[in-house]
Amino acid sequence: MNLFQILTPLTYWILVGLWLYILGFLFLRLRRSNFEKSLPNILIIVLGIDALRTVLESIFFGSWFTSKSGFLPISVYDFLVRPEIVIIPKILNVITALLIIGILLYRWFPAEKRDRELQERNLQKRTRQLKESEERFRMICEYAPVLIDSFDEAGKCIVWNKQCEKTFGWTMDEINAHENSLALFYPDPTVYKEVEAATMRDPDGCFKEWHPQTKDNRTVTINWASFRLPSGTIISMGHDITERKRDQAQLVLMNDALENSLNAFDIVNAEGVFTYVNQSYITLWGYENADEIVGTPASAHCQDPTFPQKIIKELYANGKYEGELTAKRKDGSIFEALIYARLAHDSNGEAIFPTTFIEITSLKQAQQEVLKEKNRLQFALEVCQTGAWDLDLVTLSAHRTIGHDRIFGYETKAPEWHYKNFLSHVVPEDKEEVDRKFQYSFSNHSDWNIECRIRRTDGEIRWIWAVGRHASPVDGKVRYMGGVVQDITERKLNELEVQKAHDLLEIRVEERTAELKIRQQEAEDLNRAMINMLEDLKQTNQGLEVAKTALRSTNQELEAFSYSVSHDLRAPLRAINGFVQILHEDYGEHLDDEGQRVCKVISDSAQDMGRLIDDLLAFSRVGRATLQSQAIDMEELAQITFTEICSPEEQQRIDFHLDPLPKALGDQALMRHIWMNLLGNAVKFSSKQEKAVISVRAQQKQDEVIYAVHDNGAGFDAQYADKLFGVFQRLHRSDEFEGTGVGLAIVQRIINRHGGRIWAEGKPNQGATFYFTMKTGEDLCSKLKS
Amino acid sequence: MLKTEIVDILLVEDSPQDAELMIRALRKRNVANPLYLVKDGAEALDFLFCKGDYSDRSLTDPPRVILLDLKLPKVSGLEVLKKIKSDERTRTIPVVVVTSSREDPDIKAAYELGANSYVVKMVDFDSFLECMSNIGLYWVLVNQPPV
Repeated sequence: MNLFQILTPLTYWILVGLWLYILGFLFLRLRRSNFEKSLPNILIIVLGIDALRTVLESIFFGSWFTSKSGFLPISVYDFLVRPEIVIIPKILNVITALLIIGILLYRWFPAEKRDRELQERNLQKRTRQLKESEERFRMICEYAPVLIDSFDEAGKCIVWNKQCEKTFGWTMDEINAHENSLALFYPDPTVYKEVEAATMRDPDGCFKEWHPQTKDNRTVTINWASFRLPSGTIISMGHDITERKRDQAQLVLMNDALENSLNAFDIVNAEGVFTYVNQSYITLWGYENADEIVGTPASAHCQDPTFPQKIIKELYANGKYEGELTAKRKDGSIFEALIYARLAHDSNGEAIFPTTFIEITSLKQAQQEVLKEKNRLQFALEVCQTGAWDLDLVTLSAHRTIGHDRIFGYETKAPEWHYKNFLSHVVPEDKEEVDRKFQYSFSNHSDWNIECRIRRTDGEIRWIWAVGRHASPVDGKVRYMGGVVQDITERKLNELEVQKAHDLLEIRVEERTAELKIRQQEAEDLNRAMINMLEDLKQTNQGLEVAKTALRSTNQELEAFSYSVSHDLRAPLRAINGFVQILHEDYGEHLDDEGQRVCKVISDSAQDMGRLIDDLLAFSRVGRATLQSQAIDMEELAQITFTEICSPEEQQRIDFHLDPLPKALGDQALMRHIWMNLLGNAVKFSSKQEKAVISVRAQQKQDEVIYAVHDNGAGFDAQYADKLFGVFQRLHRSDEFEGTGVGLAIVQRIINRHGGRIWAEGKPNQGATFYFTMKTGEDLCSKLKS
Repeated sequence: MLKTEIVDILLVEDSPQDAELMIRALRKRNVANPLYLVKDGAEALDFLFCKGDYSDRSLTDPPRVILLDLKLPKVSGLEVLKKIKSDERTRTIPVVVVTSSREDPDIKAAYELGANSYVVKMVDFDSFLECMSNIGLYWVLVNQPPV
């Protein structure tokens, strides 16, 4: 097989494709470009290509076929063996021929006719489109939710959409039936002219709010936009804002009502924060303005801060809440309020809680007051055994308390009670009088006040007292009479008793008066004697006063004396003592032993004298000092004093026994002086014993205590016992026991001043016992208390 | 001693014996500061307020301590004390009341009038000596007077 054999079929089919392509291309050009002008060129190209194709066919196919059938034209054989190589070129030839014919035909067809047809077709199409558009606009116009109308220059309505019909009530025909349609909407000539002028005046349109009337004589508010076409036709579009206006006005009204409501009102959001409060709320909670509250949590306005959250929870569950609240003002004060809250939603769908409050603090207080008052009244009625009643003056039936019925002998409340029931209980003797008074009170509206006897259900006759008063008239009529009834039997009986006693008394008084007259005479005599006595007494008193003054001055003199003694008597002693000392110091070497001794004697004597003066002063002071009496623990005092006056060595030497001692009533400082002196004496006089024994005892005797201080010391001769307590009296010599002889005198004086006694027992060298008595502390204390 | 000299201790004492004993007691304990003795209340006031015989003295040099007996002729010790303590110029001078009296009203009155100490003259010479010298030592040598 040679190259041709390979290439020929392929090349052929390529050529066929190319040809088809060119034809297609031409066909497309025919549609797009100026077909008529390029028609000859197209014709040449088509023919040229077809010729080329034919040549190529003959070259290629010819050689190809030659291999089988030589250079023979295409035969039946070929057709039978390879039909496509015969049919396809023929088909292509036919197409080419048809094309050429078509082009030529087109070339020769008259152009005018062709254009007319084309125009007609176009017109039809546009008319159709226009109709469609118009219909669309008409529909929009007709069914648009705004008012659209149009009037031509003659005032004829040419557009009147559904919304217009709906708003105004008229159909287009009804409007056009009128000569002047505009006057239908604006019957007021002034307004009519204004509208007419406004729509005529401005070619760019008029935007304004008008208030036309409707068929059923309503006035509506329409926001109109009107345009005037050059032809004179007016097109208007409007929006009915009547309801919106009304809603707005309503809203303003409502808002105003809410803001100025006497009830407090707030709105709280889901977080429990205020979003709105009205004026009453601000005032009730004691704030200045809403800005202080809005945005703050509601919890700060309640005594219980968790309260708002509780309510919100309840509101989510039930949608509303009614109850009471203890609210807290800005200044922290508390008040009671009724609260009514609802669950609502704002424009964003969020939960909000509008809440209304009514302050009820005073109401609550008033309620409590009424309750208290009621209880008080009830109590008073019960205590006074009084029954209360209310009589209906129309039916003459009465409401009563149980106390009322008990008075009449009923154990429980009788089911019904009329005035006649009451009258039936009154004893026959009193009945007429009671009824007469009641009828009088009934017709004159005056108070009813009677005392009468009744027969109780058990038959007992009792006295009662009943009073009634008419209620204030309502609409000029007195409907009720209220009153109380009380059982006064006891009082009545007492009164009778008293009356009887009174009568008796009067007789007695007369008898006594006579007696009294005699006595009076006697008394007058006595009185005269008494006056004389009084005068005597007065004189005596004056004398006493003089004596008292004298005593006072004596006392003062005594005081001055003791002051002088203490001051002046001591000065020379000090000088004696001092100068003897100087003599001893400065001239001691010039003195012999006797001289030295004399110096010492002078010095000692001076010191003794000093002590004597001190003791004397103390003795005098005891007599003058005022007593500060109190209960004294004698045992403790004795112990302390003993410890004070004894040196440790002496305490070693002395066997001190202290029994429990009862308390005594006396002056602390003076008591101390007694113990100091008696224990001091005991220590002093037992100082020469090897083993000294001092014991203190006490013995209770009726209202006094005997205290005893015993020592085993020098003792004394009993025959001189009476001298023990004298001033400057001593039973021992100074060289034996030192002392001034004033100590026991002071002790006796102190004890005497306390109302006690002192005495002593003793024998020479066998010790001494000093006894003294004191009033018992406990006894006197309890007496003082009682 | 000249009346214009600086005096540390002013002794107001009518009894010459007591005065002698007191001076002796002070000297014995080496309290050698200048001491001046006046014999009655009037003289004491003249001395302190630079009047009469003492008009040459200056108030700027008051004594460091006044030892004052209560029982004085003419003007009593309590009156002198009252005058001293009620005058701005002399109020700060320490006053030691030295007297024989143990009577309560005197002690109370003296302290109420502003006395700085109250000392009783004892009959026993040794005690007296001890007491006086202690007063001298304390008020003249130990105590710091106001500047």
